Amino acid sequence: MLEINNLRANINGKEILKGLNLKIKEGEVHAIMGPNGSGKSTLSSVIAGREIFEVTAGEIIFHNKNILNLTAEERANEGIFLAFQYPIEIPGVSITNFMRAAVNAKRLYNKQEALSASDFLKLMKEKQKLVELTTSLVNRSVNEGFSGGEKKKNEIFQMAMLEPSLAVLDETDSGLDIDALRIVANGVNKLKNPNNSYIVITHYQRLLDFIVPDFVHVLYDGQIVKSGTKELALELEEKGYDWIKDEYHNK
Amino acid sequence: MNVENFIGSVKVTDNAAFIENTEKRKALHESLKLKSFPKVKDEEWRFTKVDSIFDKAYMIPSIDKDFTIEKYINAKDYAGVVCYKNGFVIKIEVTDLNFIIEPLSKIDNSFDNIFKTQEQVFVELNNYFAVGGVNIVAKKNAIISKPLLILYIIDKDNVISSPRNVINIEGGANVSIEEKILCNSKIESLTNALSYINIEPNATLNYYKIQTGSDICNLFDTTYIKQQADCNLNIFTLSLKGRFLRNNLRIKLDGNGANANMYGLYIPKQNEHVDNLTYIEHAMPNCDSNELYKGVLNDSSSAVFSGKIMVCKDAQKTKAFQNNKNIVLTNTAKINTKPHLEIYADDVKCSHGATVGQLDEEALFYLRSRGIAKDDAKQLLINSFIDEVVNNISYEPIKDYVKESISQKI
Ligand SMILES: Nc1ncnc2c1ncn2[C@@H]1O[C@H](COP(=O)(O)OP(=O)(O)OP(=O)(O)O)[C@@H](O)[C@H]1O
Ligand SMILES: [Mg+2]
Repeated sequence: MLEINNLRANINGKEILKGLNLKIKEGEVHAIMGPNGSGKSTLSSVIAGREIFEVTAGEIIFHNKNILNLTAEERANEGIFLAFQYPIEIPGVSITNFMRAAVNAKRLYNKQEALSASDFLKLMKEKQKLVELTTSLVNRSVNEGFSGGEKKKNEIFQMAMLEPSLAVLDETDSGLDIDALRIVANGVNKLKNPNNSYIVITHYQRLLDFIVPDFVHVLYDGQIVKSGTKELALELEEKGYDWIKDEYHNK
Repeated sequence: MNVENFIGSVKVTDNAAFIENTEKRKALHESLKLKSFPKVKDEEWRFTKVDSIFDKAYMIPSIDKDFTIEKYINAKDYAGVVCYKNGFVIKIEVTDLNFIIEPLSKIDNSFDNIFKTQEQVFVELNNYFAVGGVNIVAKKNAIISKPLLILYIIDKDNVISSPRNVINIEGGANVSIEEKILCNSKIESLTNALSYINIEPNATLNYYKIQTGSDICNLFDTTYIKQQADCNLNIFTLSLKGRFLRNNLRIKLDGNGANANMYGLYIPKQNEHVDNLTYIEHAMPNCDSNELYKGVLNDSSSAVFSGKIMVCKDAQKTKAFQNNKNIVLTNTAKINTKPHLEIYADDVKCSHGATVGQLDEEALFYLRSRGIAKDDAKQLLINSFIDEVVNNISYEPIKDYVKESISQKI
């Protein structure tokens, strides 16, 4: 469903992604690990269509379509979702209004009618439960004054509302306490089905105990430098990245 | 053009209509002769040129009472209505008898010289040309939930109108006043309005200025307010439309424990220009003032904010806050903002600040990444920015009207 070929991307003239390749099939979970600053969040942003990154080469094929020319909102409506590493606070925009606009934008895109107010609220309630997000939180402005963990839960709540076919979870586990990690991971697992896929970016094995990946990749210096199965994550946890870096630089 | 030539150029249809008598007008004329229109070298007019406005020929028509209020408003929403048409008071209707409203029969000078200002020429021009004015009293301890409406209608070409409101809110009263200017869109006009407001001890006044002018209207609006002990003021200056809008709002906290909240909003587009001058004087101890003005500028519009807080020597335990925030949507829009604080007392809490920025790119991406179209995402962010002002409007029908007008424009 997703195929990234030789992707190169710059920010402010500095190349961050340097010929990246990745292939994901329906129903698969891919974990991406890698040292700080290697380009993981950049890859997420480029997939989601953030314009401050300039794509200089390559392609991103999603459901057989090159999406590089699509806007961020078009990609979202095509079924791509990014759970941000650092969800931004938007004072004055209520989560309810925000989600209503998002859900109905997607329905419009798919030539469906807008949800009625009561159906929408029902949907909100149902998805809130999934990540155990309280109503008092949902009635507030987007992420405003949320704790780090609440922000991450809110990302997964939004994902549940929008039911994407490809979700990129950028360090969704960071900032979560042990219980919250379990809640979020359970939420993700409940949403998993044979048709949707996940890219899970993380630094730690503990998330992968809950969301078990089919493949694990190491992103280093703007490229996927190593891929393997879930055992690779355990090996990284044990040995760190030095051996990978050595392998890469000796090539 | 100098002031004398300007006065000479105004065509007057009915000389008997003026509020002020001939003698007094002669004296005003003598005084005005010595004055000039503000220049950009005047501190309070640095970013607003007025010359071209006074180069035109204006006229004062004869009174035209033809008026169907239903065309403009739903009278049931109000406790009373004062309607000016082209500067003449053509209707005074009071449904709540706790408001007493009478036509002004002569100019009230009780506020003269309360502030030393650079807009004295506009005050005198208003006195000189006024053909309509009202005296409004809200009776002692009256609590009135519906607002009183003061409506300015301009529908004749090249009219200069000089409405004048003298308002007294008696002790303990709690009332609201909405002032609205409506201009026929095809008409060039100049409105030079003047309001004097006195708020007695323990009274509360909510005052809404809703400026919905036209693409070719010019408005100078001068409001002087005196607040006595323990009274409250919430004043909104909502500049929604108008080619040229200049607001002079001056408040004197003249009694112990008085409280003023000043809110402003301007959303100019195309070539509109909005200039807000605010001045708040803490003359007595234990007073609070809180000021929030916000602007969203589009196209080649321009805006000015100059706000001054003056804390006098005796005004101990003053709390005074001022904030001006702006979003500039284009490269061609321009904002000049100048917050200003002058403190002569030592036991005070004051702060002021101003920001000018663009729409937050990160927030915009966040919204778009959820499928919300760029324009809708912008709209959401702009609304949330504006809501910080609009949500302070406590009277729902006015809040709804303002929100509706804003969403139509943006
Ligand atoms: N907006 C930006 N402006 C300039 N440089 C940026 C910007 N965003 C990212 N970079 C740079 O791109 C590189 C990759 O950053 P990125 O955020 O993709 O790393 P990461 O792999 O997600 O790291 P982490 O594990 O710390 O989250 C870094 O060197 C970073 O400084
Ligand atoms: Mg990152």
